[in-house]
Amino acid sequence: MRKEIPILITLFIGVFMVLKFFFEPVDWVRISAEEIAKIAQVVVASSVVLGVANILRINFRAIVQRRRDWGYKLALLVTMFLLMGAGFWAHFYHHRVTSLVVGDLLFQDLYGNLLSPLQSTMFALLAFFIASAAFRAFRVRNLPAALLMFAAILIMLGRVPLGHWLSQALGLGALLPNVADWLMGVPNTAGQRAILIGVALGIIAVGLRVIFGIERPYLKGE
Amino acid sequence: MTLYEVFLGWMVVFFTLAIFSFLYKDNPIYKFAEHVYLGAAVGYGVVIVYAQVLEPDLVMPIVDFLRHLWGGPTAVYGEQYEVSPGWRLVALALSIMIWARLTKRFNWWSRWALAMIVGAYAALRLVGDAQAYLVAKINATLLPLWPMPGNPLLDADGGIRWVSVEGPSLLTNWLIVLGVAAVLIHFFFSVEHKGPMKGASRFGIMILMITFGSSFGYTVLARVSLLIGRVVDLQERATGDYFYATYIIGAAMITYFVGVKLYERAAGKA
Repeated sequence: MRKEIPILITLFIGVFMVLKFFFEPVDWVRISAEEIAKIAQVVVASSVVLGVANILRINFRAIVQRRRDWGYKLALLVTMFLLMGAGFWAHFYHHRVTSLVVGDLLFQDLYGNLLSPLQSTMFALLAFFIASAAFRAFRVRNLPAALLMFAAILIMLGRVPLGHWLSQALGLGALLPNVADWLMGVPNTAGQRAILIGVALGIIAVGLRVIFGIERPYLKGE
Repeated sequence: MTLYEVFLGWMVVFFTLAIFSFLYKDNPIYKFAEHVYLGAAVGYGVVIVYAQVLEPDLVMPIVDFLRHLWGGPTAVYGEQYEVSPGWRLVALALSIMIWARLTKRFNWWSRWALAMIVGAYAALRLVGDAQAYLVAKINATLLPLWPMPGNPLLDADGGIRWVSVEGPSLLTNWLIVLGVAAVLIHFFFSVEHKGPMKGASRFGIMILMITFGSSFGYTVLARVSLLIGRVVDLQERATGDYFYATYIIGAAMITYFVGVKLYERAAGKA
């Protein structure tokens, strides 16, 4: 019962949603499928409650018991509630969560001056690690490794003003930017395209396995 | 510039430098910023999910449905919804089943909701990706390989377009068609890679290496562009308008790290 019903639900919903693409002009099929997709979207969104409950449970316990690093966990919870409080205040009181004016909405100010800089700095930090990883990994041991390295170097040089300048200074005209464009547009397109075709085939295979209950990731732990 | 704006500027500088301090080593300032980032991201996500999904697609339809049930305005039907908003009670029930995961006794309820989500998204991805990737990409790869009147491999004056940076050309089309086929052959393991298969697979590796190299270069550029953005932000806040926030916070952090280092050295000797 606990296993069979979920498998039947997946089978019924999955087959119906696939059939929807073939019977799109039939109104009741289209409307029902759209409603099912909407319900699925709502259920996925509502699972954010699970995430918040887990964060609260784990961090609150650590703070109360004064475990190691409890101060950081307190900072996490305070920031989370600050953003949530400011956001719900903006939503319910001002009926909007975005603003172009500094000082208009605390939620927007916190997004623009706290979350956004933190997020882009985190990603910017990767520039250093990528550079150091490249320095260690790029060794011209054989032809494929050489192709990897030269493609990366040519793309990096061809897409920045330094590459344009270098190309001009060496009397090559716009050769470097053109080579970078060609690499992105031709061999890169071929490789990406083949990878995407492979990914699509994989998704179709896994999707069918999941719909027909051969693969049951949601029943793990039973 | 108001005091509030200056405060926001100092906040930006502090958290930017706090994250960059990880380049020196893992330290309490970075850990603090990391936890603040996580808290802010979760708090922001919750608000956006509620405002953009849960309220319009769950709360409002149910309120409308209940209002209609108790004799309120009926205009909500037909105008906003194609089906009765009462169906969203199913979404509410499934959401409650998902939340039941937090309990020990009823956590198996969540499987019903998960089964519904998995079924719906597996089907949507299956057909959507087949259309967007499989069919579209195969279609885009079916390129003309021989210059014929009327196809884009011939110029307006009838000359063959051998190679071009933009648009189709003989070399471009051959490389794309052979490249896609070679990479697919490389990942086709049902036949042993011997003879012509080996050659094709080897060519596929070359194409893949150029693809990975290009993607790597592109990623590096994107990250460096973000880095430039952060440096510009720091530069803007290093002026008198912001009371030299970048210099003061930067100096304070350096002083802190030097102080800790000296303290640790002294403690080690003792």
